[in-house]
Amino acid sequence: MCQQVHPKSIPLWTVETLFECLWRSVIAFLLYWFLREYRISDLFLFYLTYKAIYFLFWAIIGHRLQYQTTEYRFTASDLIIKDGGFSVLETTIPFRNIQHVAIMQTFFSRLFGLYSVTIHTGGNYFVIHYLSLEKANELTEVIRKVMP
Amino acid sequence: MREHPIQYFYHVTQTIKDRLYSFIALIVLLIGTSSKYEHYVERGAFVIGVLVLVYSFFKWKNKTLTFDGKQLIYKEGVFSRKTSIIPLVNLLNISSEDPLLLQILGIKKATLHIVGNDDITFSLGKKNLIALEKAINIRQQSINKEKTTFLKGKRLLAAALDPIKLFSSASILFTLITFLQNLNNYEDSGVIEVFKSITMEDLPQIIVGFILLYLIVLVISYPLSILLVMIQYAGYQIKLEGDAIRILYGIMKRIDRKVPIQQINGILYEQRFGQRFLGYGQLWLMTMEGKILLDVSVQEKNVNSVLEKLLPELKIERFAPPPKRSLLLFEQMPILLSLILVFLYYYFFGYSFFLYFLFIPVFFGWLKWKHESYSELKNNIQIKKWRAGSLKIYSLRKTTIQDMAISTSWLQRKMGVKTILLSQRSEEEVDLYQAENVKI
Repeated sequence: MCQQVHPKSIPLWTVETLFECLWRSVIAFLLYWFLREYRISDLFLFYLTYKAIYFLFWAIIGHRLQYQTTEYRFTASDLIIKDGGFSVLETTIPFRNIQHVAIMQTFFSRLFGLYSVTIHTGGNYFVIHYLSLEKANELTEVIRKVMP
Repeated sequence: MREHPIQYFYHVTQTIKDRLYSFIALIVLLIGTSSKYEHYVERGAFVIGVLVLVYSFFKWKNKTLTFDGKQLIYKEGVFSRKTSIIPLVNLLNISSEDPLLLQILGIKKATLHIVGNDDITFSLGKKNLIALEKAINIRQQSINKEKTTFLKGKRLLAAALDPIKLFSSASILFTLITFLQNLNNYEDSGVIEVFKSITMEDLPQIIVGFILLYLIVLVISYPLSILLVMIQYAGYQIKLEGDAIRILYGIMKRIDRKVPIQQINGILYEQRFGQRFLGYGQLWLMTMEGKILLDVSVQEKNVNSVLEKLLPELKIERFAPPPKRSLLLFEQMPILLSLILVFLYYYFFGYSFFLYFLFIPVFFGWLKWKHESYSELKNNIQIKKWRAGSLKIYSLRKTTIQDMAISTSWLQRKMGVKTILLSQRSEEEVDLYQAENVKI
């Protein structure tokens, strides 16, 4: 059965995108400010506009789509994680290749009381974010049982 | 045991290179040769010099490797100390790289490859290295008496056509030319003055001029590239020793690697742009440590005969028809969206400069792929990617594939195609765009 991530993930993703856009914009703004006498500074102004549109796009549409798409499910031999927005990425991880699993909380996810679960394979790692503690523990427990 | 004392000097140069080089370069560029700052520069250089010497000494002193019969204990660090305890079962193999200076001094630079950990590089005297290898039961023969032979003919010409080699040769020439040109007329202006004088309208001309200049330097640098390749890959030998492949090459830096066959997850044959014209390419082994060069220059038709002797199970046998090719620009959607924004910006603010980059999605879309195919055999999966820039052929052991991802965008769903990403133990993700009816 497909399991969805926590609905509070939408505002949390929005806060993360806002933070990411803000610190980049601050750097771009500082560069613009120091070089404002020269025309090349317009390049940073363009970057600021781009970041503002990028944030608005993800805050209004992107993260809602991402929430609808993001899910995970177990089959007899694999864990399948679906993620994305307009593009959908469906990853199949055979149980036999799972190396270890970790539960993590970022600074912002602590504010929302949510957790992310990271699944490591021999060549890669995958993050399911964000889940309540109960769901994260449940998922980790299931993975531990099926791990080789 | 500690590293050979000569390594102290290596730590000094490494500290300057890693931590100070960019900082010093920035200061030099910003202040130029202004005598106003001479006083500060002299004192600062003295203080930093002393700190580097002291820091490097402790770096050398604190770097130790101990073997207690079952595990290796590796310690390093000055301000933050790190101790790694490595069970012997996690040690994959030992390879050695011998730069010319170390060869003269009779020192071997051994790299210990470890599962799930960073490699450990340790310079030891020959006796200590042999003692270490004996202790952990890895036999490594001396390579000093082997005859040095150079690459020649078409193999050499093709190997030197590798864009990476050409660009590094061009960089050497470019730096040399710039240095000689500025030797006599270096003005007290600093780079910031030049930066200030650049306007948006100047940028396209500067970029085009720079590209043209670099193309000329690339042509001139080809002979230098040939020379570098001859030195780098001199005495190239591949041997099958028991259950491992041994690879040896180089004069200035002598490489001696032994790769157990069971650690090889797949092979990659790569013809880079330029090499394609001669039909030669490089053959890589894909292992957990990353890509290891197996042959620097091998003709496409000879790949299987090389593999026949070393890794017959990974031979490239056949390929399925290519996937759909009707979505040429599709993979460039993010760039296209950015350019729509750029165009709006142009419309409102009128900067002609941005229009120069409107060709980017078309160019990249064409470069992205020209021909791709996929084939599943009994023990391995073969993927062929022939883009305008280069040809890549993967032959991957099925058992080493860790996970598989299928990416589909809205348009791809409408077209009934998908992007497949295979991730395997070599940390190299192999992708297959616009695939149809692929079942793995």
